[in-house]
Amino acid sequence: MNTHLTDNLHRNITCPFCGLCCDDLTIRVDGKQSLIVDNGCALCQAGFGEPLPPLAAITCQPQIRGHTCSLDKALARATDLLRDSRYPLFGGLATDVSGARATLHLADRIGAVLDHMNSDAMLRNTLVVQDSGWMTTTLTEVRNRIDLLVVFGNGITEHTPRFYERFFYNAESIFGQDTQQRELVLIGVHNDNDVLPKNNPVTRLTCIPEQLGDVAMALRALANGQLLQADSVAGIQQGELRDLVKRLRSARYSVITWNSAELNFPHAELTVQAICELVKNLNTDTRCSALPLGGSNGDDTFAQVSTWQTGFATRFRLATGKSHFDPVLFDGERLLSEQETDLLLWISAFDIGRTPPASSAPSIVLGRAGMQCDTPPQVFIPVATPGIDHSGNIYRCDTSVVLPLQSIRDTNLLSVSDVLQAITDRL
Amino acid sequence: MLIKLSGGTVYDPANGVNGEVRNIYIRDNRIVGTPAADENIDTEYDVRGKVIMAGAIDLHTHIGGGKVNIARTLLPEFYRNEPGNSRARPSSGCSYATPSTFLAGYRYAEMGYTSAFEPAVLPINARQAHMEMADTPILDTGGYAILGNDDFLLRLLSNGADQKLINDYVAWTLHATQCIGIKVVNPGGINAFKFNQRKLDLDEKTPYYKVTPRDIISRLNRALYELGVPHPLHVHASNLGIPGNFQTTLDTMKAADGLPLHLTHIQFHSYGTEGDYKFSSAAAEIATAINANHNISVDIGQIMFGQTVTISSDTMRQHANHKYAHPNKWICTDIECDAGCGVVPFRYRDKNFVNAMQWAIGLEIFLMVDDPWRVFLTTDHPNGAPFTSYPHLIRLLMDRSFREEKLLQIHPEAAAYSRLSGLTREYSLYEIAIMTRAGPARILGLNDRGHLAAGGYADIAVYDLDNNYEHMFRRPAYVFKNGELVVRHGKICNVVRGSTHVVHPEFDPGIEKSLGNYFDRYHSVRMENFKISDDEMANNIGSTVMVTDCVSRGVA
Repeated sequence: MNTHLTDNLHRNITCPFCGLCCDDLTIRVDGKQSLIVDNGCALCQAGFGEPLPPLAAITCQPQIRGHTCSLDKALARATDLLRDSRYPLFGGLATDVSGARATLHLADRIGAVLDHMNSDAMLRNTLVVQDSGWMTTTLTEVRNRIDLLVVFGNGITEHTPRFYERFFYNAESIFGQDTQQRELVLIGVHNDNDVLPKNNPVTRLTCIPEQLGDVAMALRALANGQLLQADSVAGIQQGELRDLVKRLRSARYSVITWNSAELNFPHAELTVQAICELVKNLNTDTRCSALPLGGSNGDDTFAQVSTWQTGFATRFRLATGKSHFDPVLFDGERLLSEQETDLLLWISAFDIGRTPPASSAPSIVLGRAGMQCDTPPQVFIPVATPGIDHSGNIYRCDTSVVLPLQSIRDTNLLSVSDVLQAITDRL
Repeated sequence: MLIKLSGGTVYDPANGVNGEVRNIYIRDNRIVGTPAADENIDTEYDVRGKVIMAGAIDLHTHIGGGKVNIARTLLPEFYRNEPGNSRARPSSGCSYATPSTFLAGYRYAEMGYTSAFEPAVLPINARQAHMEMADTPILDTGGYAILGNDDFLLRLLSNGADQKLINDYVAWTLHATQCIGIKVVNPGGINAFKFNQRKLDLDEKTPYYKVTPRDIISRLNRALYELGVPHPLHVHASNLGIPGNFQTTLDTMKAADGLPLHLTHIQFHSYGTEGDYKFSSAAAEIATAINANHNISVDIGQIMFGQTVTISSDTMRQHANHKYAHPNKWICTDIECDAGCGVVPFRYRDKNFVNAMQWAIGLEIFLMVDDPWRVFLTTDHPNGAPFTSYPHLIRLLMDRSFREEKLLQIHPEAAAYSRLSGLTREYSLYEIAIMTRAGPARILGLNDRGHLAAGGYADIAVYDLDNNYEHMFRRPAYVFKNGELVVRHGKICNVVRGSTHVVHPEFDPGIEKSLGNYFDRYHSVRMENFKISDDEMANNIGSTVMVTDCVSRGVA
């Protein structure tokens, strides 16, 4: 019994299109489109609203080198390619829990490298965890306890649109806070597209992204009672930094957040580490937590499943009886450009625009039905979208929470898990 | 399929069988009585001279859930440094302290274990716990849902909710999280830490809610009793790890008000403050209290020397201990107005006085508690040591001269302070069978497991008798899971799927009104999405549910 469906409206539906995984959507399905009735942000509308082409359209059919064929032929060809490859790369990896399980099962059978499409962003956080750890919190805690939010960066509402609405100026908190009194501090470059809370007090400290780490380190030094010689750091006056430290120290439950996808410069993990060490230091006397925001395309999902099955989240190889992690060696784009891989299996079930990178190696693509690749791959198999065409599970970006996905549209599309299982059975 | 195990020496304490030579018959997935003379035996195993016990049951081991995965993420070097296992499928996933889920299942089965229970399931994270346990081959699994630091319960208690309401909430939680028991971790303390409080004693009021840990324990335990849930409240007491905490532990036992109560990893809660190091063993006081109070059961949480990682929901204590992290990195997280988690890698050293005392204290308690039905063998994996150390631990309990040998290797003052050399007791095979099979099955209400009588499920371990008990328990001759042979000569030969054990006590669905209200106003997920159905368990999560009956008890 589908407890989520009443009066032709699907309620309490989970959106898998960004790391917040909002699960309060009400959706009506009209033909091949899902229309958001309540609560959908722009990313959600785009993800659910992507129209499904007619089943006969080429982008909804299995293909071999751009020509439609039977599913059986496509599976057979894919199996042959995988069986014969000597150094296969599995990329994209945008799927749900079942898809991740099937991917890892196949990768283990044939010995593959696994690199999620968001690895660069993921590793900016993962490397910090591996090196020094961190102190974090999760979204329900933020919603109820926060009194001061510090944002390193400027794209909160671009990448996680409903964050402020749901977790910062939310209507009620357990402890009866007036959430519009909560203070917001933005450190970064002004962004016109970032939609800020209307009523909360906002402070801006301006600096370029590459210097966010310097700011974090200066704050940390000041928080530890050290003296700074410089009058300013990254263009921000020392007085403003001291003021922020004072506020962090007197806050009862401050939260410092960032989206690692925005930190697109070399060694950005050092910036993240500086922020995390600041957070840890502040907990000597008060409570402060880090909140890594962001995520998309099932990155946190793949990372979790992969970690419990193999010990690693991404950029690792399964072969020779062990899992071997190396963020440089197993960078998929490097393997492709250096021609060290002889086959790319690209999985992308959520975002129709996330097509595989250019590759001289042959590729097998499991893409969201309707996906159009720039160059026809050796094999294309259209797949269902988790949370629209089949049920499953997906992780939120604060990783303690995994939400159920529902099936709301009736299509005959196969899931990533179905396709990979069929291939594995043929090996 | 009819299987015969011929001539083995059977230890089945649930049925009073102590080392008798008997045949065991398995039909499909159950143990059956002697078949008719004309029935055809499909396979016969000659197990003369071998020891037969039911498959072992670990009632407290951190094998599934977000916390465990956080530890895996923190410590990639554990995977790099340890040998691969090419026989395992998938072939990857090494590490003793934080094995992959596949390796955890194989390694447990390879020691003769057929069931294991994750003791710290955060309700919001129950899906993950069950998914990890579903990806743990061979073993039956189950979880204890954590309550007692969640803001919903503390509000109820603070507002003077009656016991019936607490009962309904507890029962609702067991259903929603598909768990078999309830755990409380540092009652009120994890919540207090979110308010920046760093210590909380048993009779101290928590910030904001003004309830005491004693209240929390008493009310939750009473709920479980009245609901008829077989397993009593599983308590990680206040003040874990603090010298002098034995008094808190003794007082916590009294919070049971005479009802059954289980105190977990009691070793960490048995410290005094005597001597030059202001750290001493209070194992005698604790054991005396356990012996005198028949409503109390414990599992030890034995430490072993070496590198491991501590994984705990007790953020208050884990944060306090982060300065001891080895390697020097750690994680602490506040979680969803449910609880929290702290992961601190740790190295126990035999030449460190405190660590050596901890080792001795665990063993002292084992050896001083009279009733093997109320003490269970655990290392609180991985907090005390990886579960792969169980055979070594069994040898320490059964072989006094081995114990004495190990005593010589630890910090000499710890050896001198400890009572261990004066304790001559050696556990018998019968007592080991109670502590690792019959006892855990009974206290969890698993009536069809942990024994070898007809009607029980055929979870069976066969060991070659060996004077070196560590060898004996490390390498079973045969292990059967639900009647299928899964291990031969200590190695996996076949992989099967286990189930998830749960309880579904009755409750008034009216509780969903106040819960729904709470979720709507304060939570970040919808109540409908919080709950896990049986269907979800079987399909998207991947483990079918087996319901354990509640018992009829009435009001306490």
